[in-house]
Amino acid sequence: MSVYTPVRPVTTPADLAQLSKLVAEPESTLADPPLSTPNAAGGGVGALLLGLGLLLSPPTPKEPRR
Amino acid sequence: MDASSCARDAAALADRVLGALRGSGGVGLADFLASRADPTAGLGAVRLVGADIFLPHVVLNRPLTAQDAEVVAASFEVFPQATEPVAPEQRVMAWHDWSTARLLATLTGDAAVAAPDDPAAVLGSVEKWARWSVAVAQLSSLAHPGATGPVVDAVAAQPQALCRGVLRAALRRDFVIASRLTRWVALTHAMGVRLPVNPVVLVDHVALRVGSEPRQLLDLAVARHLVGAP
Repeated sequence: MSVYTPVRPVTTPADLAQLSKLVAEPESTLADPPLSTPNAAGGGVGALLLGLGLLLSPPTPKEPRR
Repeated sequence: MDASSCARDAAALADRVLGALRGSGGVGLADFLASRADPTAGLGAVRLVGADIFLPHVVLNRPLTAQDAEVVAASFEVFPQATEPVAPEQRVMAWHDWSTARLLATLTGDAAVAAPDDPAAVLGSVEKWARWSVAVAQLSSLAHPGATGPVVDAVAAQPQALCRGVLRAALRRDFVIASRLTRWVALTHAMGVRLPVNPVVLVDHVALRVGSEPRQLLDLAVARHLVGAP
């Protein structure tokens, strides 16, 4: 005679799949820490900004001749 | 079956196992199941906690009562084992169940249970150590004192990947995975494998951050026992 319940509960394949998911619990969805990227990866944007800065900056002031 | 009820019941059962390890008596599986509102979720919890329900018997040499053995057997009847696991979750479940059935057979004197398949099929390639370590963590119930078997051998053969995995989990602040992998690190240390991390310091580090979830506390209790820490 069973010690826990007189009637065996009935489970479905979906119950078994749910239990499998609980057993094989995935890792948390936090992102990995950011990885360092070499400076060269941002070189194109940096060069563009530097060029724009040079074009838009006022010219070097010249001292008037006496 | 309600998955959240099953997870709650598993936490309650893990708490009972923790209490038994601290000397409060037996786990009392039959009593645990009788106290559950949903017996299906309760039996699911028995399968979810898996081989850990036998920790007081393994660690403290407590005898397994016939009633408790019947509850475990009933959980296998109600949730039949996958005969041909295909999906990754099914493979993890197959090894998790194997560990439970194997300890049950050892404690009851029944015939040995055949292992599911090649451990590489469930763990994956160690080259992809991050994914490999998550699979190892999912099989933490196989890492108990005196554990042997194909998965234990496969994990113990890769101490660097194991330690990379646990440090990655700690850096990600994923202390569910970290506590499970700490248990494997402790087992590997107990087997005499040289490790690139100090297992006692690791246990202390994770213990400060793991919170109060009974299943993680159980992982750390096993790890402490394996490294001989108080």
